[in-house]
Amino acid sequence: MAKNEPNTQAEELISIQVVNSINYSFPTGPIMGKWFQGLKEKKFYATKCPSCGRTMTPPRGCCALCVVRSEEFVEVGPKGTVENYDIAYYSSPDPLTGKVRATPYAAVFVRMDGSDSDIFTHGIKNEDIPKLKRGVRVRPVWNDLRTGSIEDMLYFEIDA
Amino acid sequence: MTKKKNRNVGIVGIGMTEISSHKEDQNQPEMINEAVRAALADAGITLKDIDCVVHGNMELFEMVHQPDLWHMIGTGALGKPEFRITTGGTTGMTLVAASDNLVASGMYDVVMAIGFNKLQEAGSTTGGITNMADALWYRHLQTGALTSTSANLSIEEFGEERARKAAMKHRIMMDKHASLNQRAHRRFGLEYNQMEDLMKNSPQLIGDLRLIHMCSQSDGACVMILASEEKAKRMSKKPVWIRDHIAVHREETASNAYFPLLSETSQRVAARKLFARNGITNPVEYFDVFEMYDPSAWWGIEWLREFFLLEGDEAIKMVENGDWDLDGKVPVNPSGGVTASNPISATAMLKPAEVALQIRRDAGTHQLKREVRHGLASGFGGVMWTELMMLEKDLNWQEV
Amino acid sequence: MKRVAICAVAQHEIKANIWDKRFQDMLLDILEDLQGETGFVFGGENGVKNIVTCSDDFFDARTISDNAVNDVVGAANYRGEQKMAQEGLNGIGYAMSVILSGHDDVIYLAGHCKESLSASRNQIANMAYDPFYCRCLGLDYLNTAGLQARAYMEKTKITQEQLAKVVVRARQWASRNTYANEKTQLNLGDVMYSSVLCDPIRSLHAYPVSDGAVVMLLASEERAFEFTDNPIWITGFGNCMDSYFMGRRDIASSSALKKAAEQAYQMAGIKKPRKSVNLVEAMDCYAYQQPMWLEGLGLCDEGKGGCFIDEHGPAKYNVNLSGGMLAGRPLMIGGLYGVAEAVLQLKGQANEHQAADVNCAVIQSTTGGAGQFQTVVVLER
Repeated sequence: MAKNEPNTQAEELISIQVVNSINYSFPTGPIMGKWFQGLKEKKFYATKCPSCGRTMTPPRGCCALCVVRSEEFVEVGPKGTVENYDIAYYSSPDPLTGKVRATPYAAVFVRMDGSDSDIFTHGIKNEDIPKLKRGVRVRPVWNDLRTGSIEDMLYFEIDA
Repeated sequence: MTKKKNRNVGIVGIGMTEISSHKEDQNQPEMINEAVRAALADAGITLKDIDCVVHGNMELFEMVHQPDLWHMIGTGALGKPEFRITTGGTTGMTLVAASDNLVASGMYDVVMAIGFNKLQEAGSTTGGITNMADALWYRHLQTGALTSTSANLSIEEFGEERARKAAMKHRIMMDKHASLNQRAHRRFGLEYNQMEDLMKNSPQLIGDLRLIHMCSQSDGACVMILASEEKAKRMSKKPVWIRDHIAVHREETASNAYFPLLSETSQRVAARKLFARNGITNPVEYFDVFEMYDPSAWWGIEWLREFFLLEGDEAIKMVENGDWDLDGKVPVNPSGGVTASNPISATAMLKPAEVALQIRRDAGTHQLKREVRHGLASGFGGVMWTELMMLEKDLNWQEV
Repeated sequence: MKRVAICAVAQHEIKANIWDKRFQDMLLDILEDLQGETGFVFGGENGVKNIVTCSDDFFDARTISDNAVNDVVGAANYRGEQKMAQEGLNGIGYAMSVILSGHDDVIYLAGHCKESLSASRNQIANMAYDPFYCRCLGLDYLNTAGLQARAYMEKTKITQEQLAKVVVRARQWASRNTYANEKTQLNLGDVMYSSVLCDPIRSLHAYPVSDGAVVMLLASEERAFEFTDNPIWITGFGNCMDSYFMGRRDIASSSALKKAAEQAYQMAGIKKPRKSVNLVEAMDCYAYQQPMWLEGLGLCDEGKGGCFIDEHGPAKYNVNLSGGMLAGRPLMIGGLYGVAEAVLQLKGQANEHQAADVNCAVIQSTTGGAGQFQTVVVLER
């Protein structure tokens, strides 16, 4: 496409606006399946590595450090300590719906009690955002309607 | 233990398109073709001389499946061997590392690496990056590449004022460098006396991560041509040699990667291993230029400490003293870095490309004045994945 | 040039829908199999430090699809990993180059793909086409194969019965392969009169939707014997890109495949493939592709695919004793499964579908509509 050709008349550049959408369904697998079952019961399960002993939340079937099968489940939490957090003042539109989430909202990176080295992420109750600090204690707030999904937990709140 | 490289590999051609936010007058293969032609012209060769093409991008951004099939009308891969390798944000540098492997192996003599992204077609990069997260438990939360966790840690370590000032100073320095680079996407013309104002008034994205700190979303393509030592010496008066490269990946959980509870950052591990196996004991002394993949100014200042194996406030002190400036101890991002230009899958290729241009003394208006013999380039992507590459002007390094 | 070996392979059983496992679970299962066989470890002084994965972001619905499996492929603990975003056979060539370059001496290669995740693999393939013209026409890998099948049938006069023989034979061999997906036995009439899928391609001519994963350990010549007593050598590799627009090429003949095969044979020092090659794994997504790819590989005269079938050419060359793509393999690792089969055959470990006296195998794979991109690998023991 020659950019420097003289135009005798204005050219309109065509651009096509399209939303692409393909439906998918994701299996949870046995490990995540048990975790979601736990959430339904208001419990946090982690898997434990038989080699290095670390716990993983959410549970993974393979310890990434040792590359060994880790299927022993232990219960952790439900409370934890905030190791770090992100308070979002800007929200990008959902790629499918175009909806923009209300800000501010925050994500917390929590070390669950009993989980020595792993971090679990979820949201924090909006009202608690001003009190967020590294080291605060939090507890989960559960959805009344739990179906075995990440939304079974609404968010964390500060454990006063 | 260093492995012996089968044969040396030189960069003989570099081509880039302009990097801008809305390339509405070109489609994807056209944009790629522009960079391909530029690289071929730079190398003084034609497509006939290319033995193999290596292509890569994060395809869910442009929503084209196996895009190299369509792009062949612009890449020139017709009738040729071709590979497609992608590794998220590190793709650009992976393409150069892969091309280095392909040439060093002896399987191909001249390889052309093509990295590009036409992010305007994605609508929103953050939306695209959100796809990176596990659909079952992280996607609803993940804020793309935006995070203030690094800022939180730096503030806790150095205090609010010192940390914020350092990050903002770094950001302004990046803009000053970009202002000298005609190809940079964003050049705001910032001055250091704007520091206080920006620290207060630049809109907050996430916590202390402000809009001004964060990289852009750009369209652009970058192409590099690599050749075996024998051909490189014939083709080019100033081939730039690829000495070594390393990739260091971390665990999928973004939360775990956003701050290393267990041990070192991938940046530090990459630097430690790469320098050790190449006998570099004092990286600040050794390197003449560092093109760092810094998606945000906060990560920029954190990673300077990591990449140069510094401790405590050594790196921040160097920010405060201007040691990373164009006339400093180790010039960082004379191109302006990623906060100025970010065509994601090309970004990580722009890093070694910029280093090579500096070594060749072809960077034009942003050419460093000092002699540039030893260059370092980094790539970032995925969950704290790091790539690190060493480039040399002369083929005279000692095997360790 | 020094040699690179495939020390061992491990395959996951291929099924239409592996709904009870995620990729991570599948890859962990076969990693354990492979480690059991070879004793390899990750990290340390002599362990694997670099990994090559094969997967596709669209099929996985995941940007940076290798990210999801970094832990189970051993990359997440500060190691290196690169993803082949093409059909997995190309990973063999690339991994080989990593070893020959001197950068690494052992590579763990892991590929995965689940066609069952998306509602329509054809919809994904449609996204491979440019958004202005071909995509709007609705092109995908099925209807482009239909166009190619028509052209091929016109040229070769291959009959419905000959095509049906290919499918019937595929199912016969699949029944002897524990890993194969579709084992239902068929007769010629079943195939010839199956419903039309995309004229002239009939539903039983097409490879079934499949999920799978396959892993292998590659090593330099110096180290291969640490992991196995009978390494299989990668003696030839070639790949080649053809025109994107179908109108620009002769779709009844595959020039890209011929070029890729030529490169691979040349590297392997094979001047007469018909004499040297005694096992083939060809990626026959649709029945017509088996004879067509065999022509491209030089094992059958150009345009004579139909006669080749009647003359039992596929049996002579031990073609697709695994059941091939026709028995079901996920698209992005169709060729990699072919490598797994070839390695087992060359090692004499193919059990009920073992061929006698095989020492030189050719594996072919294709990506894109109507075989636009072709890859060929030669393995020898």
